[in-house]
Amino acid sequence: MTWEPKIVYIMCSWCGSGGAESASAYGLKYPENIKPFRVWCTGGLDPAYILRAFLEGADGILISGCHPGDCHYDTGNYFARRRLAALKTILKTFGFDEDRVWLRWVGHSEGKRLVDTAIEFNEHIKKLGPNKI
Amino acid sequence: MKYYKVENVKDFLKNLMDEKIVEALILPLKSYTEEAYNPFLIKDKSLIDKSEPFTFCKGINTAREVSKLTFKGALPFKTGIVLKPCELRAFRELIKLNQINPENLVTICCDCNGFEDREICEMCVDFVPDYADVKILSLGLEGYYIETDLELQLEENSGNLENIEKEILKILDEKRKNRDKKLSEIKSNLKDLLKNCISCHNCMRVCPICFCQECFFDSPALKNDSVTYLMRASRKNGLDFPENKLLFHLGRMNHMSVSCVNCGVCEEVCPAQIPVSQIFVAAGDELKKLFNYQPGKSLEDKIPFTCYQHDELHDFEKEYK
Repeated sequence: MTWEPKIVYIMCSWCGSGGAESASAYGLKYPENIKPFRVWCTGGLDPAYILRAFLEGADGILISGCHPGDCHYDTGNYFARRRLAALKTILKTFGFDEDRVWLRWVGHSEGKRLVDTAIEFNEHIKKLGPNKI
Repeated sequence: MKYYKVENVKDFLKNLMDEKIVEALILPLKSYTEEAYNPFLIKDKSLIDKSEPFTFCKGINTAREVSKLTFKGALPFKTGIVLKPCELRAFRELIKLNQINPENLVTICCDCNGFEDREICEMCVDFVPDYADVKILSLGLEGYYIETDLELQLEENSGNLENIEKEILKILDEKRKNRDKKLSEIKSNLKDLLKNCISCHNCMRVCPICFCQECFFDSPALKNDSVTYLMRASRKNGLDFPENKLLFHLGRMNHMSVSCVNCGVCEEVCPAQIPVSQIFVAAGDELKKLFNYQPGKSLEDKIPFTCYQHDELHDFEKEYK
């Protein structure tokens, strides 16, 4: 059996999930091993959730929210960017693979961008191999 | 800024009470067991004789206790708090976190060359009381010099203060070397260091910055039902108990290490002798560089997670091509 990466795709309720909606409207498909996980806003995403997925064996975590300046709650994604920058810095400091966590903004209408991101990340994780933690 | 020279710090503290600059004091006093020092709130100045203003109270950061004091409102009269530089930083950080009401509090802070048996002190590079109301300077000097803006009925004496800079630079140099060496060791084997953790969460409970009433890592959110435990066990190739050790430490690091003041109480209370504080220094240093932020300094500098800039940190976003 070939190994398939386990990937959690964290999307915000407005743009990330909206992007997924648009993708389905266009009939686009993303790899089936990607599990969407909806949060209200990326600003409300506690790094502990990402860490928990990461330490419990997820091979990669992908985060999408509204583009900066476009947040449904005005500023949530700016805070999210800061928190994720901190998270990635900490992971890097202690020798964990910080490249398993990606942040890419996806707008509501950008269905193709969401699917491309999912496929690109899937390929990226396949190259990295399983998460040995 | 005025300078005064004093021979004895206890007399100086009594003097502060006599002059009604402060009406109460918080300072380390022998506890009831006569073995350890604890911070005491006193209104009687005769108790100052029994105190030891410059000791470290084991396992207690005074700033955390002060936050309990002002939990239900500001103090009604001037109260002095005798702090170490690390406690002063915690104090200022807690003001920013809205956990201390600084009204009527007078901070009295000494410079500090570290304490015995505290590894964190050997790597401390921030031992000068920069933002205290009353600064007590002693490093490289004879006797004590007081630097303050308050009006004291003492003779002004700016004396021979040149030595102090030389002494500070000397200590700083030594400690920087120590710090770099230890941090590189710690960064490379985090998992190894945490293998003895017993998940008692003592480090979180004594931490001045961890002020949450209920911690996420203590909450039912991390409890699983039995089936999930079994699933996790098969998925992770065996689940080691206590579980969530790494999650707790890394998670806590994400929550508060940007405000970590390196006071070291966490590793003092650790029953498994894990150098928790040094681990947090390793993480905190990187974050402080990233956000260009020094915890416990200027009250104008906002805590990085409470503010943002529109155009920043693009290295952490993945570009779409």
